[in-house]
Amino acid sequence: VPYSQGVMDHFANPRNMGEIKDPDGVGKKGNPADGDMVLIFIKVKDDVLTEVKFKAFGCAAAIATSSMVTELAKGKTLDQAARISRQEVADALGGLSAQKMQCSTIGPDALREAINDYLSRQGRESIKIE
Amino acid sequence: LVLQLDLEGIAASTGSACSTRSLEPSHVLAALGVRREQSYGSLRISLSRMNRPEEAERLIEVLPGVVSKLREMSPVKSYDTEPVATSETKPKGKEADQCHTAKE
Repeated sequence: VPYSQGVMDHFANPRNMGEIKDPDGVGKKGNPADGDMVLIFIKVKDDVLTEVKFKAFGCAAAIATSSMVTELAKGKTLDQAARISRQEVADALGGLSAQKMQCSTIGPDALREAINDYLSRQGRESIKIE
Repeated sequence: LVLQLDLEGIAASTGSACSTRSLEPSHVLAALGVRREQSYGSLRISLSRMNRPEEAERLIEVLPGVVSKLREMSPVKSYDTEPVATSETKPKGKEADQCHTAKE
């Protein structure tokens, strides 16, 4: 499976990899028994994502897209970050093959979960994206 | 794991060539009682008469670093004994929707 340079770069040197000790929100997607899982941790200040970190188990595309989604999300408002689509992530990485597009869903989904986890901790309504 | 080794100039595989097209983890490892999430991290190393002893040395040098890098990245601790999920919870017939390491 050929990967773009962006994918290989983020796979070889993932950005924002690790955990946040005292996160404001955590999102988890996937199941290791199915081959991939992503955890995203966020810190929020005035509804802006000040810190975004991830941990991932899975294929190169899942790792690279999770890494890219943390890069794209940092500094964005909760609403903007929740709207990051898998297409945006794939484009930022220089493209993904059709069969690997599925893998790019898990990062943005985990980020949305983390944002909604933060909102629910605050007793606020979650952001729903179609 | 295979792709990280590839970046190091080492060509290996996740399982037998006859199951390259399969997204399922090795049925041999499954029969041995290896958990699914562990068998997604399988590595098969084959040698031929063309390989040289130095190449085996190189693999031994490179492999621990690559594994610890991926373990650091992973939220799953494959070395713990607590099952993360049983095979019963796995949805059947959804392979096309999944993203797997086996294909690369």
